[in-house]
Amino acid sequence: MYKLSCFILFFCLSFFHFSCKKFVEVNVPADQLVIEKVFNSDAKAEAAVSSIYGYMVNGSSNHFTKQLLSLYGGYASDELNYYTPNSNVQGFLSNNILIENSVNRIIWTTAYETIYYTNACLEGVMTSPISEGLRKRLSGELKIVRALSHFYLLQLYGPIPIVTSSDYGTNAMIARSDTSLVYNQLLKDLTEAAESLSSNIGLSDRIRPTRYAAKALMARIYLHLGQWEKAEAAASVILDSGHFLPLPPASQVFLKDSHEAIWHLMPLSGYLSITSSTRPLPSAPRVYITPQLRSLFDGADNRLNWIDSLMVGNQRYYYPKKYKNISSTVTEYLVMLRAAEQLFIRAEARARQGKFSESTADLNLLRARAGLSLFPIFTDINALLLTIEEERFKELFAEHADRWINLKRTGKAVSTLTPIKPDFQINDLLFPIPGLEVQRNPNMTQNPGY
Amino acid sequence: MKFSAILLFCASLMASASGKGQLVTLNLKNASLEMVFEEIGKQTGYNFLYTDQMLHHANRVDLSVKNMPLKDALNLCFKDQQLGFSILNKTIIVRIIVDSDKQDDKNLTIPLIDIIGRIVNQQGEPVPGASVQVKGNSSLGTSTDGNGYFELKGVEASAILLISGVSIENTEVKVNGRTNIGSVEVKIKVGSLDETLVIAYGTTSRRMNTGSVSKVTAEEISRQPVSNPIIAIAGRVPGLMINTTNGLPGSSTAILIRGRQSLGQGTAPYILLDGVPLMLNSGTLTSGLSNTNQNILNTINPADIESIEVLKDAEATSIYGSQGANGVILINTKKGKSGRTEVSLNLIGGIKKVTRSMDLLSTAQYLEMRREAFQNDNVVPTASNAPDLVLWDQERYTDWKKEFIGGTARNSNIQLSVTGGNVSTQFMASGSLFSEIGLFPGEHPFKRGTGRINLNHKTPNNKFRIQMNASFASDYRKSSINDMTSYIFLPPNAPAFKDSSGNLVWIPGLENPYALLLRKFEGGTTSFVAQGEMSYQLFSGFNLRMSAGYNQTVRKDEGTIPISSQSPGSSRFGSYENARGMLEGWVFEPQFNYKRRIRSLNFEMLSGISLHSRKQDNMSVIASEYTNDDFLGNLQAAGRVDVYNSFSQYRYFAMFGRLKAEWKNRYIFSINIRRDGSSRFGPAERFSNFSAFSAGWIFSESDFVKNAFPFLSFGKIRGSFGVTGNDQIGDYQFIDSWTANTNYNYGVGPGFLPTRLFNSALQWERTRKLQAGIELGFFKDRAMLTLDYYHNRSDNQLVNYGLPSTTGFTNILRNLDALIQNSGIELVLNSTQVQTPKFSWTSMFTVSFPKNKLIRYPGLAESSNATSFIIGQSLRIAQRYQLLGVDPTSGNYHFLDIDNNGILQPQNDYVLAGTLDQKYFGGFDNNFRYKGFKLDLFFQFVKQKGNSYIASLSTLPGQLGNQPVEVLSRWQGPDQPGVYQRFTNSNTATQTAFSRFRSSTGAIVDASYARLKNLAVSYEFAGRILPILKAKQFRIYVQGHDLLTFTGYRGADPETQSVTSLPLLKTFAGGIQITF
Repeated sequence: MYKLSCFILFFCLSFFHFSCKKFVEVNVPADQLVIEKVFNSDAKAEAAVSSIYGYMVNGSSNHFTKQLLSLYGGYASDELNYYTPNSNVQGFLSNNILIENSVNRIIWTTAYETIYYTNACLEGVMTSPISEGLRKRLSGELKIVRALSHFYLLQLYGPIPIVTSSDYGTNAMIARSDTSLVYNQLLKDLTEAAESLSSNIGLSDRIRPTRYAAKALMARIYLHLGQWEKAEAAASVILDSGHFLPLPPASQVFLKDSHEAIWHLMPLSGYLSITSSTRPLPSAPRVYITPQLRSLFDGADNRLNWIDSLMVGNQRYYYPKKYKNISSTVTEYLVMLRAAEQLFIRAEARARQGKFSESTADLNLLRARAGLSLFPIFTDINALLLTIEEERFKELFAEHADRWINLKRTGKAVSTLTPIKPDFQINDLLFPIPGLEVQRNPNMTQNPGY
Repeated sequence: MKFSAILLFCASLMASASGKGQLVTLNLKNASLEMVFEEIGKQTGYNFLYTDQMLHHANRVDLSVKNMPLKDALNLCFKDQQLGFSILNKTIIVRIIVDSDKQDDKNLTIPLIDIIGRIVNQQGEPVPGASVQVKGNSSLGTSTDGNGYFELKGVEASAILLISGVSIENTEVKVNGRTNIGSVEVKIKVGSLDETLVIAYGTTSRRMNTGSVSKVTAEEISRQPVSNPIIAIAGRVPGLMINTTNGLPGSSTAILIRGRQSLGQGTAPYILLDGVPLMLNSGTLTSGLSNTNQNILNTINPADIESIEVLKDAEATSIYGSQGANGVILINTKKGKSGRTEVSLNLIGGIKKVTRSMDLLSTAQYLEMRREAFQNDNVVPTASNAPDLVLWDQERYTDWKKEFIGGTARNSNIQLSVTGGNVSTQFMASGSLFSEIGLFPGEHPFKRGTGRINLNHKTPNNKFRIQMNASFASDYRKSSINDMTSYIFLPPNAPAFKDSSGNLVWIPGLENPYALLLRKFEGGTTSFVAQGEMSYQLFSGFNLRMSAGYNQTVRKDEGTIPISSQSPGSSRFGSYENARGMLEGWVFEPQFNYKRRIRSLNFEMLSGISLHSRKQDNMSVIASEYTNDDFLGNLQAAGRVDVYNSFSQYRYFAMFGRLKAEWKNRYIFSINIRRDGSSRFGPAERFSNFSAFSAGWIFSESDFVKNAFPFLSFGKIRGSFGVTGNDQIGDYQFIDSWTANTNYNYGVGPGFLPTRLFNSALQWERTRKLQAGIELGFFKDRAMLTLDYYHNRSDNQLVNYGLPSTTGFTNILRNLDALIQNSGIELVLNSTQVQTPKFSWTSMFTVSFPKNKLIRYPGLAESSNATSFIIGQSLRIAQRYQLLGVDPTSGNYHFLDIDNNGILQPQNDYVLAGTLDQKYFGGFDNNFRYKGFKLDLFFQFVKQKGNSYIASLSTLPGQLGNQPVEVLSRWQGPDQPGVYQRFTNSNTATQTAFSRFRSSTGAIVDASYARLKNLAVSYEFAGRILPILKAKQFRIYVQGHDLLTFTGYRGADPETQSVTSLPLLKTFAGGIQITF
């Protein structure tokens, strides 16, 4: 009996032991791809990289480029106001952003999420057996996205960690880098990108970052660095390419076949998040333009096409309406970079170099498009710079925090904002690093005043 | 077989017997005895007890009598037979008259005879399930059927029968050559040391068990009007903590056994229904729809449950290997009983109301608060920033609390069960229909139907047994997507949200709650669980057993957001979501089992293999951009359709064995081993070994103890040590994968992005469990005390390690050499104060003192958990700013700035505010019976700290939104500092102070409570009404659940501690139960 039972036990166990290792192997689900399979063909590598653009414009989380930068950057400066603000909005409106502010955290998180995706794709693209031409193009595109994300982080938060790999061990303990180091890294990325991308583009190529997108960001950075000649040269590459000028009428700037666009994102649905967020309720506005901004517009300005209004009681509220489509048919693309900004960059760079007539000419291209009288050639640099600032404000309001970033760049933020925001302090120029980031990364420091 | 048929027949006669006379009229010629018995039975209602064999040599009978007394008639019948009879109650027991001469002839060889008999208690009621063993021959035995009858074949005429059972004292009966033993009266036992305990892959008794197993019986469950059976065991099992998240029907429950063993992974116990693992973590299928959690436990009809066993220590759980670390809950369903077919009908109706809530400000108080807030802020109220002060009616008052959560939920439940069978085959079928109408305004039904079948069969030689269970449950619910509880904080003077004709009115700055009620969730779960078990006795003591189970859960969820529910200014589109998910699993477990007794050593060996596979397949369709509500649900009419699917598979392999030895019924040893492989870990880390050792000593069996402590009827010490594991980490965590998402489509092929940060070297979490316990029975086990001390240490923690977003994600899963210790004392005291036929009073008291401690966490200070944990403290500590009260000058909360640098930072300024652990908890049950009346009172108590409701309010006192009345004791100036800080609408400093207050010591308050968890009163009718109803049993009852709560916790329910989700509901139910 003992022998029999032992035999049966041994038999059962040995039989199953051979098959058990196999038994616990499972299939990877159909909706997932293991990393090795993502970059093993040109088509899939292209799809993976493109997903980043899809994520930026459609992703279910509120990506910072989708609308947060445009709206909350607007609240923080003197562009936008909100009718019945919640505590997140209130924080930005009064420039008292708490470290727990969830929108502030989403801006930070989605920017670094984008950077992770670009790094993961970049590593995949560089090591995979895809064709050389595609490798060159995709790596260029990815470096532009990486630079753009870092650029906005730097503008909002000051010195920030530069993340160029997907290794979480390093990235979890990463420290902040000085502003100059960040700019150097961005210029390096953008220069490499510009070299590896073609300058031959059609209208449909602008849904991806191109050589001109790299140049546009470089022009912006040179302006920040005060390197006027380089800024002028970079902007000229774009403006003189023949792809973007003459400027289209104001009503067509945000349409999907606008040739002013240097880089715009193609949404899945025509009704963009930013359109939905800025649309008023039937009896009350939500987002509205500050009286200061509205008062700058001349009654004949074609750009009033970008503003609409409604009456509440006896008060009229104006709200931004650059994007108008509320149907699902896609008619507009979300603009990331456009030629008008390059004209301002070049106008300012030229003004700083004393090239007043060229500068005025750039400015007048925008005046003409607005349907307003042209400026005579400026002779006073201060008057010219002030005019550029005001025109820029009117042209680029509610677009990716352009006003906030430029007020800071020109050092005018405190003097401009204090009259309308009594609490405004110098420390408010930087948003707080989200509290959890400081908690979770021992090398992360908080901005002063938070 | 025929015997059983007759038994069944006899049994059925019994019921209809009453009222008939004892005179018989017979006119029979050349009739078989069988026919005579049948005729007499018909006329008198008496049963005959005999075997076919007895009648084998019986002579035929000629009989003609008229109105003759029964006994005389029987004497005539038995006159020429080798048979005799005796009458007991209403049973006529037939026996063979043993010829003394013949017996002498057979003296050389011991004659083997077949015997029958019946076991009854002192009240003459049958004792089902009692074990009848031939003394000295453990392989020869049987158990009694539903009516107390038993049959044994091939028994030595001189044998002694040993009768034992759960509720009876052991009794010996000499066979003395009788083939019919007749009715044997046994004494009812007070204690329950020998009741069957279901354990992993087998059963044991409380007496012989060396592990920690708690049992909740069907009777205890049936007293409670709950739809989720797990709620019924709360407070009754030491070491088991159950927390219900909200009061919605079918809400989820968090179950924790002996503390939190894991830093970041699943802490849910392993739950098996008749040996089939239940798949708990089905979660929500639909994105964007809250309030839709479905709990698989809700698909079990509590009335189908025979017992719930909770396994806690290493001895009991290590045989489940990597699934046992968090404890194991075995849910065992009722099995068919032999005997007359019994039909039982149970009808219950109940109502439910919110247990606790808070008083909110009246309109006058509210407006005063708002005005003061603006005054404090130095801001002039305008239509934009204060519509409630400027635009709205200053007198209007709506009690939003009454409006949204003041309603009554109603439910009804119909349960029907049928059981019957004979000695070899039994069946049980049951069904139930439960329906509940929710408490929010509007129709929110929840319905559930269940059906179940159980079949058991064994061959007459007891060698082959088969058992099958199949259950089916289907539920349906319709509710609003939102939990409306958060809308009780609407401003009390808010204008009407509906105009006189019922159209929605949109008020700037406020969500329209009635619009949210239009957003519907509709969902249903269908679950099917089948389980079968076959066993065959290959030779004496050696059983081969094969069990297999299959379960399938299909869910369908639908959500609609109509255009009419949206503020006209925002998106004008409707959307519809349809999600389906299927969860399918099977388990296959071949085993063998060998039992043998060598002199006074009993040993039992078990070995087996377990294969387990589970698949989850979900698909959801989100149709959006509808331009017309009438088309909602029609996918073709949607402007945009997104489809998502997901699939995951989990496979599990294990080999296990157990060896248990008992020596002299006094010393017990057992060893468990298990080797496990799980698909959730990387290929190199898949397999691991687990084992446990335990021992027990029943010292009350020793003569010394018997003599020295006569009052001590039972005493056992036991201990166990072993290793278990935890693999609750979700599937595929070790794979570096990219996930497709249609949202990321960008014109070139499908969009996909990295799923997560991956780690290919994931390993099991390991828990070492050590336990020591003592069990004492006093005064013939009238009082039973069980005291357990446990000391569990869990390491190799799988930590979902929080990362800064600079890594691209917010966390990664990895093993960390952190060590968590859970130790504690658990006490159970059962006592029977009074036990007489008319009156009885029994009590049960449990209390647990759990202690949780983080022993080791490498690199804690540098880690992202630095402010969450402290070495040497519980995992649930709360580190907060030290609240110093309200600063008299500024009127804001102020906090202790420990490093005195003028900046409050969690890293530097947090203090230990206490732990949110339950310090102790338990229950106190008292059960009274007087004749047919029964009263059961069950109190549950918990000592703990919790989150203050003031800190969890979403708006600040002073902002647009109502507040609890407590906030009125606020700062009003340096001379009136108050308890709460000044009111504000938009002052940044005050807002910042409030946000810090939320993470301050002020947000932690005492949340202890004692609760009349259950009250049950029932009356069982006896006597005349039963025959009128033709019923066997008839009882009426009322039951209440969560009726009274005694607590110092203010605001909401101390268990849910949430102001924005529906508090627990108190239930009041009444019903009748009738058995035919």
